[in-house]
Amino acid sequence: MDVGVIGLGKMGLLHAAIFNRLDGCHVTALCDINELMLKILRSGNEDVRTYTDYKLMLDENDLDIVVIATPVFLHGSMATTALKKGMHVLIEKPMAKTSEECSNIIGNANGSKSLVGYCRRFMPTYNNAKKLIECEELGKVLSFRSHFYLSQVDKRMEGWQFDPYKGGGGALIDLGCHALDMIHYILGPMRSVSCRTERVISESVEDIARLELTLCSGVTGNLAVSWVESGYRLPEMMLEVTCEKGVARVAEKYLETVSNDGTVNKRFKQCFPDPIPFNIGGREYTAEDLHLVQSVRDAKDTKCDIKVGSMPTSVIDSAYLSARDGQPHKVRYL
Amino acid sequence: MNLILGHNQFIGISHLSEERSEQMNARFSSPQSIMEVVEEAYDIGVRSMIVETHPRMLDFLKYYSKVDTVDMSFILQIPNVQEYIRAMNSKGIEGMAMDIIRGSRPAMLIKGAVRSVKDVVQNNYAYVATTGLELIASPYYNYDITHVMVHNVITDFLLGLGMADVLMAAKARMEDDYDVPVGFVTLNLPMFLEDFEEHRGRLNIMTPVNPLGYDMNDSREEVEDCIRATDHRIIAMNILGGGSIPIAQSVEYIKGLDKIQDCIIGSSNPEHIREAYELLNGE
Repeated sequence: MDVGVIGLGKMGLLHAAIFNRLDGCHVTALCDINELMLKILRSGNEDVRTYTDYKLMLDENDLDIVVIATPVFLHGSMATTALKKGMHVLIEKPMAKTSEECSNIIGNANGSKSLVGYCRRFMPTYNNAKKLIECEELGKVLSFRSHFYLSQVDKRMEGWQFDPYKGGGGALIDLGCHALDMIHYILGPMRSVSCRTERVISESVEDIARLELTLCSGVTGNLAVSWVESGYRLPEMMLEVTCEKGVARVAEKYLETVSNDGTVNKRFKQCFPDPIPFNIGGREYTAEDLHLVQSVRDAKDTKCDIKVGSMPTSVIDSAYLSARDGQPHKVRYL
Repeated sequence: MNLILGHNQFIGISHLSEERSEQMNARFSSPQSIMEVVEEAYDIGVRSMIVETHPRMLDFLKYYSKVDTVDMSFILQIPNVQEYIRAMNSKGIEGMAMDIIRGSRPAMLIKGAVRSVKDVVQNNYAYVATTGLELIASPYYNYDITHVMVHNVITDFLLGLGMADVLMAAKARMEDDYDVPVGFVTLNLPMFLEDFEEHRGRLNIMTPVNPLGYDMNDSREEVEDCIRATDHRIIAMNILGGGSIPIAQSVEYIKGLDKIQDCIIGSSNPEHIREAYELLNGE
């Protein structure tokens, strides 16, 4: 399969390296507005074609898969163009700035396979937590709480993530989308949301968001998102689910259950079988890219296609409305 | 067997939880606190340790030189990836390059600039990027650096892009400049060996080796086969699976592979270091 990558920041470079190494795949085209980056990559690999114009790249190359790893405000137009050409797409998270943009993308799906980059769906701790909850090992779900914390911002920062036009918002859309996707994945869809946001350091976007969520099942819970939280050199997405017979707590590195009788069972990620062909920058990224390739080969939908991947954006839309008017809002999925 | 003291615990990296990472980060915020562990490890018999190009480790090396109580040799791992990824994300590649330039030794900066001009003229832009690795390492060469190891994020990333030749060029340049052997950290030993099949000479390769097979990609069995077949020097890392494997179990496994002569232990607990040392050396 021929693969093209648009956007050569950290995630674009990572996906390029992974796809280039997967059996039967080869990165044949790269696109970025930064010509220096293109020169560096071209000088190390003369076979690859490089572009500063993504439309030209998509016109001139018959790509099987296109990876879109640009700032969020560009996802809509790029994904739509690629899908109209019948190319399969991997869109980095969040899928788009708003549900409306997601809807435009979905409307152009054209039978192509798609994957939105909610990589934690490919981490064994979360998948084992999902199995545990779904088979009601601890009984029925009563409530949940979650956080996504990262010590990313300690002063006013530059970058598209801090520009509301380019990023669609701040910590909530950039980091909270991961947590909302995981809540969907493990606990199901949401009925309504209340949200408060705070600007602590950043000028134009929120640094902190606190959400109260009601699931369609009637279960309630909360989510705290912050990129100014100290003590989190690496991001931590923790979900704690309280059930009839105990509590399950899961993050990237561990899965812990505490039964009502006090029995604690904690397993670390190292203990879960998680075979992948190679690890470049994170096992979950290889698993994610491999999943898309296999889905294309098998003509099957991925576990987070653009319809599923739009769900966190729908919640975020309602959350931002709530943050503005102080009222809870229904979640309207596409 | 040579036991090497790892460095993750000193810069707040834990594979078990972010909470534990923060605890270690707070505990080792001063060079003195790191020195205490190093001195205890030295008393046990450890003679070398990993240091990464991290501001805290540079402060530690400066302090170590002043106190001069033990005679450790250092394996320099480059670069501190998190710092540069953040810089690239917020400032772009040019901004990240400026950060690297600001932190470099002036003599190396001049040499790097001259070399980069030649690389640009010859369109070898990838080699310009590897000059960045040398600049990042330059402040550390004042200390007892006996080996340099290129971080797995760089090694495996360049291998993914099919740029093994760029890695070898970077190795040759750094060895030429600093007269110190340069090796590679990789999480993908079979892939690495396949790409370096044509390389002549014995390489130092640091890679995860543990009884769980954690991060031994693509499988524990395949990595074991590679270890048995290769003539390169394999340095075992992640031997405790980030703290989830008992020391005795890990040592028994590593000794069973026969070929491993060097192991890294990322521990700040003298009892664990002693246990590992004594088990590895047959006491």
